[in-house]
Amino acid sequence: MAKKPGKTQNSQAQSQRASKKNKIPADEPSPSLLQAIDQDPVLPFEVKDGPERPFLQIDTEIDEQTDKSAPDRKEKIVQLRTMNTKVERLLVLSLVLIASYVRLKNLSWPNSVVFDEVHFGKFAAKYVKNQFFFDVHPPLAKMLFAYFSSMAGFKGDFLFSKIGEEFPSDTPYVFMRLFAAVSGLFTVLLMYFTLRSSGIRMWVAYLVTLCFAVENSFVTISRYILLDSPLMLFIAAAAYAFKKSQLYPALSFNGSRYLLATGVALGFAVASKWVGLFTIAWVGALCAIRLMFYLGDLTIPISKTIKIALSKLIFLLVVPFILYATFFYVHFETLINDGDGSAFFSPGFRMTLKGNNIPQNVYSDVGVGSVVTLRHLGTHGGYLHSHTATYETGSKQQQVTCYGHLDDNNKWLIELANRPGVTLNSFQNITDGEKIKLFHINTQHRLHSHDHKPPVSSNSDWQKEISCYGFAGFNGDWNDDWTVEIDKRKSTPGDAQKVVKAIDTKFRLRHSSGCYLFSHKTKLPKWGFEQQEVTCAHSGKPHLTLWQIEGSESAVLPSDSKRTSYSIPNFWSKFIESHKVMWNINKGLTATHVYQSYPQEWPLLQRGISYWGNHNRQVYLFGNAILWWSVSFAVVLFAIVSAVELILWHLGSPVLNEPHVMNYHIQYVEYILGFLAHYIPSFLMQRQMFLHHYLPAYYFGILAFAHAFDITVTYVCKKKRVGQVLALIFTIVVVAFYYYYSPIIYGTEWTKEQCKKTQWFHGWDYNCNGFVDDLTEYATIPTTTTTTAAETAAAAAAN
Amino acid sequence: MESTTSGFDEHQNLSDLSKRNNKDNVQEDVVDQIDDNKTQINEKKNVCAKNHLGFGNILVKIEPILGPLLITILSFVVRFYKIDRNKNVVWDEAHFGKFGSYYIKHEFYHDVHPPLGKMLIALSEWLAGFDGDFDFESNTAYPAGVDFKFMRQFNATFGALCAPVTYYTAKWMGFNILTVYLVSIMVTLELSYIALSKFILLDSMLLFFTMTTFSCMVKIYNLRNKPFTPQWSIWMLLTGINIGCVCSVKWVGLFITVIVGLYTIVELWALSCDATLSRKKYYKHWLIRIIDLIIIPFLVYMNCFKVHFSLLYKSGTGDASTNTLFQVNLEGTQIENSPRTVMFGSDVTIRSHGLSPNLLHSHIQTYPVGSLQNQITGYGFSDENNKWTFKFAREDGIFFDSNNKTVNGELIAVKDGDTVRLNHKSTMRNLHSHYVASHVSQGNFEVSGYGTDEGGDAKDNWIIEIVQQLKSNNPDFHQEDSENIHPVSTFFRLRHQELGCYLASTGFSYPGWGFKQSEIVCKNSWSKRDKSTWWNVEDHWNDMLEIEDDYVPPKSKFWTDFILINFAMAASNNALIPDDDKYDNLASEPWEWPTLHIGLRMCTWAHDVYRYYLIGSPFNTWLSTASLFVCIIILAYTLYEWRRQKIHLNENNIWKLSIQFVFPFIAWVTHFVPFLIMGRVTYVHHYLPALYFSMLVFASTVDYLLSGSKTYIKYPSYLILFGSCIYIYIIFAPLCQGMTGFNNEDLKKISWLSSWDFNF
Repeated sequence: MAKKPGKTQNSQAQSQRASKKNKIPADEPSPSLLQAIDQDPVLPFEVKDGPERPFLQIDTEIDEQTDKSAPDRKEKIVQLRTMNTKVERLLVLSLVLIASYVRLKNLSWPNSVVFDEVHFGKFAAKYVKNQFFFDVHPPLAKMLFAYFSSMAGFKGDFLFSKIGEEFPSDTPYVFMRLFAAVSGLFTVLLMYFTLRSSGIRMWVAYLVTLCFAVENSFVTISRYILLDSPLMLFIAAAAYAFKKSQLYPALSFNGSRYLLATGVALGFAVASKWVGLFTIAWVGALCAIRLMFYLGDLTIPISKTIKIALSKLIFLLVVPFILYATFFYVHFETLINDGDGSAFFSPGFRMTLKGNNIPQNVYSDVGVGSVVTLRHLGTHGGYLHSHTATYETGSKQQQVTCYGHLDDNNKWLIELANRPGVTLNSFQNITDGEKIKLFHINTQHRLHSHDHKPPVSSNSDWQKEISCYGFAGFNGDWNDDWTVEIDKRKSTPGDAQKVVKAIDTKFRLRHSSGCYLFSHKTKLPKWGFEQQEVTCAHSGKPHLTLWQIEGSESAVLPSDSKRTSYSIPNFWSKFIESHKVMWNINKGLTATHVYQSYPQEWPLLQRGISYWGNHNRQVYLFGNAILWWSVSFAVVLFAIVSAVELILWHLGSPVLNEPHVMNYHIQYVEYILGFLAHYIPSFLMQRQMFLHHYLPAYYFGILAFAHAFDITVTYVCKKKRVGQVLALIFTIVVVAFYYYYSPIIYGTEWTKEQCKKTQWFHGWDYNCNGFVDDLTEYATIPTTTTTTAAETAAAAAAN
Repeated sequence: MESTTSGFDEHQNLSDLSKRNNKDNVQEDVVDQIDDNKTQINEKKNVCAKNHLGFGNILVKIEPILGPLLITILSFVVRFYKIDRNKNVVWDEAHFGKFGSYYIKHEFYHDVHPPLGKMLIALSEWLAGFDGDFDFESNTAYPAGVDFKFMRQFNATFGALCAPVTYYTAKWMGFNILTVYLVSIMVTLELSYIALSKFILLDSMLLFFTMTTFSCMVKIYNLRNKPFTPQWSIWMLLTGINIGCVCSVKWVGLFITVIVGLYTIVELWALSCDATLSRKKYYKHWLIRIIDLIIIPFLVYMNCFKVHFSLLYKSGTGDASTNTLFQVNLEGTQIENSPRTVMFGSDVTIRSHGLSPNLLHSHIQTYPVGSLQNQITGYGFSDENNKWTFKFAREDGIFFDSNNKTVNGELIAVKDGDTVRLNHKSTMRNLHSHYVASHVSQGNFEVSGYGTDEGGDAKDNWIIEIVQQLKSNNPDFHQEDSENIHPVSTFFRLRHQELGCYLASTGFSYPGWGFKQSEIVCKNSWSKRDKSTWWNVEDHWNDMLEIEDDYVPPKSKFWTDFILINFAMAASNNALIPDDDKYDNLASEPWEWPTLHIGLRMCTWAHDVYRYYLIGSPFNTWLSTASLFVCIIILAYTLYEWRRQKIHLNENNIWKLSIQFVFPFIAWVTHFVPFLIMGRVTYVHHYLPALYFSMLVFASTVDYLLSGSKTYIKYPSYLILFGSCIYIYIIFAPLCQGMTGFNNEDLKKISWLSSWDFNF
């Protein structure tokens, strides 16, 4: 159990930068090209003696008087890991050219809507038209697409309504896709620089990045109007900036600058998709581990460690949050017109939208003889409603439902229970505990409950049917009696807690049999027009039995009496409400989808997603199996190697003494943590999952793999040449895989035979039969407007 | 060693930590221990010396016996006190009393919990002379002949014995004597422990075995420097037996098993670098732990089921949840001998051999989403809707004669490899599957009832694959054709002709719209041995065939029954999902337990009966919850000091920190966090084991803070703690000892939170 000195060496980054002997001076011009790109960017680390045991010196920013060499070492490591030679600039340039070719090629094809462009294209259209909509993802990436589309002159008149629908000529879809593609291009560059900052030799970083540039799944997602590409860019930027910040001393200008950049990138990522939260968690975990080493470094005073912790807290949590909130602010400011998404929101929220139909300035007083509309509070189902249609089950009496739209069938007249049909001459309030009857004006029936099973929830023993019952001249019976119970805690303080006031009072209606008027998110069948079921519940959840009056008119009330409206929420309450709705809807996304997959299947690449299929061509999201499996293998292998090393260390063998091995371990652990932070949560989520949810984890997996690759080809392979040849072969195989599978990335021409050859496993289920027998047949297949409606429908069905 | 300070000795072993590998250190440990004992004795001697009498010495000697004895007596008193006040069936006595009675009557039943606890209840019923003639209906009065007082006392005994177990655990954990008594008194007077001990429930047994398992672990910790001594071996064995017992009462016992497992791993890890230990000895350490901590518990668990099966040899309420072979072998089984060869045109019921061994069922209700066709479910109980008819695939072009049984006057047997169409007898729909995702489990296809006998498509076709044929238990019975399907004894799989997937039961249950019946899907099965795709014909009707009376069904295998019943338990556990819209005033959310937000009314709230309210003692619960945070702070501070190299931690220090803080804390986590995650209904009493561990954390915290402090702080503080613990018990006692009347003034005073609903 006790700690050994060796333990401290099993540490995190930055150790490498303290060095007494620099093997290769960075500023000296390199003699040959190969040597230039094979420069070793790893320096030995420094261990100092403490009173109890040696410790790792983590931050070398030492007082200049005592140790002159320290700033020099720091500069050295920065120099070794930054692009500052001509050779490297050329390398990067070639990378840009290759990646541009791979990722920007022929973006205009397919010329119809692909996969989730259905959603994100539509949202862009809504932003352009300032129409409110609802989506489970935060707004940034969608806004960016919208911004670029409007820059290109998009008017928002094409709605991306189904997969395979052809774009009209005035829709700048290519420009929108270009944004995704350029994001993808930058991601490639960021990966190169990230790897360089974590201490990988130029040529190894170059080859791994090249593999990433042609990675089929990343190429595919960066070609379409999908959130994944910008998301990946922001995550990659965060990883890069964070790695970069680690190169500089904490609290130094450069260190802080890159931390701020990390915070900004994190803010962008989390404002694109909530996945960004995992990236924040990753960065947070690394900071926490680093903190332990700051504590262990006795040369750093505690006050400085606290300062470092605080600065990280501000840069990495506060900055992202401010950005996140800002984007929501912009989102609310942009979507000012009422739209179809507002149905998920409270009336107060909806009042802030132009063209809303929320009743305003209604009479506050509600009394006997008032004609009212009752809104259900627990769901956004709408108003208590009845119509002439009858139930097909139970009593077969007139239906009572919750209905979302304003309608005369929502109007109910309040009567005293013991004096139904009597009109009062003076106004009389409804007090807490009053017994009333509710008279449906349009059909002349009264709200009624009795011992019948509810229409849909027929097997729940605690609910009864609610119906509307009565006939002309019938004054109702005791089954029409409802007692008003005001919920004092939920009602606005003041009068509204004593007598029923419109909007301000929240109340329950207790039936004479003891059950409460209740509704829940259960839809009636077709005969009930799929409106929401209303029942009488003996033990319903309290929030589902809560009602409020939204419209109130009374003949005996003077027209100048007090009026009331919903209070208009400020930004923060809108922000919080949006998040509640997003959370709940996200949790509710449990419906199954044909192309969904499961987290445990991802590392083995068991299945892809069909994105689009038309004109005998297909787009199918699919990984580069070679790189994909290598990453999974590297993760598993690392776990085994680490376990073995841990045991060896425990038994007293010296491990981790070589700076390269040490740096490999540090960086590997950090990237693997990133992999796990983005992968493990998928197992806990109950919602439907797709292969593209693995991509952020996969990105970190590639970074980790790069280090395993690096240590293998430069350290494990004792002969330099062998390592270089191995690395080249690997890269060629990856590129070949990309090449052979590119028809399903770009949706280009392919034959059945070629396709079937690539289907190594049963689960790789792109439809080979959709291709033609011979490439020449493509000449006869039309690719534009002439598609008939039937074909489009067939294509949609195939997807 | 650290009898005087709560911190860590800074003087010893400063030189090098890695020394633990050499011999000196081992010796030092021994020396430490001897020192430890000496200081303890000295301390006590000093106390006694003041008296100048032998009496003090005697007190020190008899304290380890007298102390726990007195606590045990107190514990028995508060738990036995007027235990029969409420003469009705209270709370879950309705379940567990009834399950006990099934053992008396030997009728097979099914329940989500393993059998040990219920068998112990049955034992108490048997000892009480109960004849099984009362079915423990909720809230009915016990009839005169039923000695429920004895049964409750039997249960309360387990609860009462928790107190001495706590005493010894605390002592072995190395607390000072005052802390030991404090935590023992806390357990003795814990309201929720008392309330649940008083009735015929499993909770007191679960708690008892959880505590004994933990105490065994602590004992092993004490003996860790004396491996392979007889004492050590006995405690190892006891640990294993206790793990077996706790897991055989409720599966919650797995949580404490995890803790013991963790401890074992840490210990083996520490041992692995002990240079004095030969490889051989080290492997012996492994071996003995594998035997004692894995194999023994498993044997205990399995034997509980063995006894369970042999006691319950008659057909009963649980038949429906077991497989055909098991049912057929029960006395008075519902399954009768039927014609031995299944023909086209025969009516059959088909039972799954998978996780929820139910009968293939369909009804007129349709799927609300997906295909909207008729539901196909698994349903255990006999019902007209379980009947299916074997028909020819339409493509075969074979048609029945007018009797719907024969073709050209001949019966045709269903053979291995045949393509069949299964037609549901009452709805006339065909068993059908298609490219529609299944509803509960993921990655499978929906199975529905589709079309009619005449109309349908090729997706109604299934291919028979026979996987196993069992022989009759009557050696004289003639050899049966292994190509044919025989009721009870043939297992087959049904492969969908178009999709290639197999009909399977998943062990999940449908939500309300599917009446919580089990899910049936078409599954891409990876292996022929995948039992979830195995089916057998249970009942078979064909009036053209004779029933062979000399057929004796094969015996079921214990191993299969054992595995299946465990899966069935898991399936029923999964089905305990709360209704989202229903307000259940008994259920509570996990966060409400450590905060003591809500209690539970254990019986009807009529004012003329003795009512019991299940809630933790505020003193115990709130303080122990707070101590969880303090524990984290203490650990973090220690870690900080260690990182800054301000303190020296030797192996003993670390062990002590682990056993006092880390293990109880993790035990609390493992007993609490799973309830946050799991979807099933949760109740206040699920917190009981976790509460025990948080009380231990509290004890550690108190010990850490007080045992090294100045006398004038230490003793008054302990006095206050003891005093308030007892005071809180006295004023809250009515909740667990039974209360009558409403709006009681005394109760009003203790209604501290508005959410406590015991006073109206």
